[in-house]
Amino acid sequence: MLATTAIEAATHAGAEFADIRVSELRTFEIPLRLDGSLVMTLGYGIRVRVQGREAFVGAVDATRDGVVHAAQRAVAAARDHAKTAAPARPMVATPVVKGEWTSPTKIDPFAISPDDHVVILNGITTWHRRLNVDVWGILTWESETRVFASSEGSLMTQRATRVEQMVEVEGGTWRSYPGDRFLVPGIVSQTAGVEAVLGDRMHARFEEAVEDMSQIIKAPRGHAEVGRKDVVLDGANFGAVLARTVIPALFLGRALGEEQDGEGTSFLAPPSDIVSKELFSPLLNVWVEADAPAYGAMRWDDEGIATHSVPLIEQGKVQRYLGTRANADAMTTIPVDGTTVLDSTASPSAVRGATLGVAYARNVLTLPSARPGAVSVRPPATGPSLTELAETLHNGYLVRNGSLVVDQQGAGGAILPRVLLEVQRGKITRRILKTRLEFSTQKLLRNILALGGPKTVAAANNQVSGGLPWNSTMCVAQAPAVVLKDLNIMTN
Amino acid sequence: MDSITDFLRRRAAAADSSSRAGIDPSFSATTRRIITREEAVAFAKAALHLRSEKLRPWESISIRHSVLRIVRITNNTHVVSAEMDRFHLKFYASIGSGIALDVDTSVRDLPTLQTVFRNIEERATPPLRSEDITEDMDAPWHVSEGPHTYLPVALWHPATYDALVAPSQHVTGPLVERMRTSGFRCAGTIAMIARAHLYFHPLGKLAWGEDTDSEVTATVHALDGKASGWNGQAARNWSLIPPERVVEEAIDMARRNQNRVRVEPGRYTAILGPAAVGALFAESCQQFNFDSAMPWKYQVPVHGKKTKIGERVADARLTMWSDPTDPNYGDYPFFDDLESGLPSGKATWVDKGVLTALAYDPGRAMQEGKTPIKTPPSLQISGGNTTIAEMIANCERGIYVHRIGGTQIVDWDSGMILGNTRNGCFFVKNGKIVSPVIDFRIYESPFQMINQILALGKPERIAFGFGRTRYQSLGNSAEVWPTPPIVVPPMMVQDFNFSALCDAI
Repeated sequence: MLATTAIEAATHAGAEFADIRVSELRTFEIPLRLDGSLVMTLGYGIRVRVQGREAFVGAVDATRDGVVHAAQRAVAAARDHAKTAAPARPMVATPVVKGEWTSPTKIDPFAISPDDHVVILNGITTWHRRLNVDVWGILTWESETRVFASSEGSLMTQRATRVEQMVEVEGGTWRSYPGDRFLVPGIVSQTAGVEAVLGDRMHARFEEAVEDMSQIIKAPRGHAEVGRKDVVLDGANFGAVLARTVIPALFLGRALGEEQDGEGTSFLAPPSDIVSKELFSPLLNVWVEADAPAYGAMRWDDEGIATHSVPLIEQGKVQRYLGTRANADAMTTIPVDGTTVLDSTASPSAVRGATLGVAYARNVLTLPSARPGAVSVRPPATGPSLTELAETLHNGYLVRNGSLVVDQQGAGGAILPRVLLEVQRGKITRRILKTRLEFSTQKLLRNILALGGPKTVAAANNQVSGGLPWNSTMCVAQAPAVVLKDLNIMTN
Repeated sequence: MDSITDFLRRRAAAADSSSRAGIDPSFSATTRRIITREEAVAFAKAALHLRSEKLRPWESISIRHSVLRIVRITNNTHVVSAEMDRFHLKFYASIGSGIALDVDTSVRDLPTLQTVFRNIEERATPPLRSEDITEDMDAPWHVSEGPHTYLPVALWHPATYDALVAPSQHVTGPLVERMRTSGFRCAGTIAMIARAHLYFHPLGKLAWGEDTDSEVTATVHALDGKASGWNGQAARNWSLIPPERVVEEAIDMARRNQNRVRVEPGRYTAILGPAAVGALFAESCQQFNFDSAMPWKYQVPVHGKKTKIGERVADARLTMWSDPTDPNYGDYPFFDDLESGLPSGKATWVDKGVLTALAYDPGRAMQEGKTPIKTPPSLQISGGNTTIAEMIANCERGIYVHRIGGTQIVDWDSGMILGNTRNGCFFVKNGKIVSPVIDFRIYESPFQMINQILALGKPERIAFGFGRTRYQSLGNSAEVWPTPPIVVPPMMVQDFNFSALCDAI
């Protein structure tokens, strides 16, 4: 009702195009050690075009008057822009859709009692007491109803339940950095209900992480040899590198300069120089994962376009940027091997250049932009374990758990390992402290020597950001471990 | 209750009359679109009245309302705007077997709020007895009762509010015109905000703040993508910002930054423009808090002293302070959200090089017997009279850095920060700029840097723009922009660590 009222108000005020996202969101955040939070928001965001110029209003006044005035303000602002600005790129035409969708959820986190949540938490904390380690982490449950409507006639309602989760075990003597913290593997943020955190496998994962940690903590400590060395990154770190560098660089808006005075531009630009060129190792295959239980999975995106899992990089070649209806038209002018690169009516995997169906406004009070909830590096069907990858190193390092600093184009950065292990002739010899690994993204991804097998796949929660107004969205990256040639080791 | 209803009714009526008069409702400056103090207090009282016994004794309530407007120009000619009208009501609750929660809702009408309360109350636990409340020193119920006295502040500038609700074409028009003819690929952002914040406790604590802020930034790239320039200005008072000059200087910087050459990384004398200094201190000022002030604390107490207060920690020319009452560079004079509503006053962190104060959160202040004071959201650093041109003229061999981005503290013990130079970096030799250079990754601690100062210039407020800058370090995801005022001088420092080359432009 609110959605259609807003669309009518916008068109009545003179908009030739309008769309709206209305969200009713409940978020229940339960950190493992601290107090929690409960957020209940109702908001909406209206995007309009008048004489080809675009404006957006996000607001929380969910009365009829509120949405009507918001739509009128958006139209007035777009009309104002028409006096000074050139028309925006035409909106890419997409099919009109009507429908409903609910994410597959067995146990609704908001239907169980708070005490049941405590029981779940106690399960985790009981293990840590038994294993004599500390546990850090957070569970955030989200339940959202999201309505999309457009002046073209689309109208859909979607309900999704998600969990953001991250659990680390900690041992030894932790001092700010680097700490002896280890991500518990296999705890993955996803589109699912409480069933995602139940089950016996969790206990096995804890034991595995604690065993891993206790071995590493015993290793003698030392300082790194600076210089270029071969390095094994575990899956979570490799995923994080991709989520913070290549993925933002493939946001079409960044490549086209829409974020030039915001989050930054892209080292993968201009697109005409990038698509189909072999820029990275042929071992690299990167996908957007859009099917539940992938985090952020929805049936339609925030522009009303059906979502699909689709490859972005195949065998080291960039195949697609992540576009929106507002900017993907730019790709129609970019020839790729003489073929059409964007056909929005075709299956996204059938066209090259840009994929749609990835627009998302985590906060509906912001403009939707390309924001995949989950990406992956697909591992080979069989491959070595992390230990086997480390055994290939003659004189190098193994990175377990860390964080990243990257520049404004995703062109490079530094990995800040929490746990860095020296490997000599295939054996772990020392735990290395106060070291960072600097990299140029393109060289790093060109210098992939080997990928680990499916058992090395790990997930990491990453924040990707930008947009108007600036906002931050989670992108879960899953990747196998990797062996990289010649990373630049520097001491802190 | 009447007051908030009046507020909504008044807004609707004003919008309707504007529409009938052919004026767009958003451009009516006569009706204040931000909640007033009276309206907020009435709403808080009404909200508290709606709660049942189960949600007591959590009496305090926080209300925030803001209207943000951002206009972005891209590729010289495209303009898109976004307005964000946000409302947050926060309070504490406890559910289940004592899960303490802070509850945040955007609901702004009382019937719906009542539904929210009922929803939580169904799962709420009985109120705690006072003897049960002993462990969490940060909890709000530890706060002393009774009214507080807050410093008077005047952070609301009518010129900014008027500009916020006015059409933007008179601002964007000249900028688009200049960008079109620049010969570069230009982008710019114009942003304004008006907001209000109430902290209310029925036992007499009532903290109220309202402020405005504005910012213009421009990033300019050469058409071949091999050089860039940036400029920005921020002010609580919009009339102090000259948007056209911001764009002109960004274009000028991009022009000077063309044909960059490679200079080997290493330690150089650095001439850091204000934006470069500001980026470093925006990160570092979170370490002015006792809990994270490792560079200014002893790992093991020395003669009973935990901190270096009273000791020289910086160049004697430097004084650093926060003053909530400064109309241009101040901040709200109380602790935000539901922490306590306690007053937070002026603080001089470093006085002529001597450490004189650290920030203490309410709980920690109680433990340490200190007066609570906020970690500086806003910060001012004293300067000198040396211009950047004079610094360059006095530099035998060094690097001039216009701006630093991508900053992150990587070692809390030393305060070391990793980041990269951007949008203008130049090699200086024998008192002259020799050439623009390929950017560097930097690895440096501001806590060391302030002991290596060669010259200081005139302080100015830094525009941080709309990228990943200070938001994460503030840990306040609700506030996407702006960052509170950071006012710093350009600095000439010796032995600055340019640790590696950086590919980004």
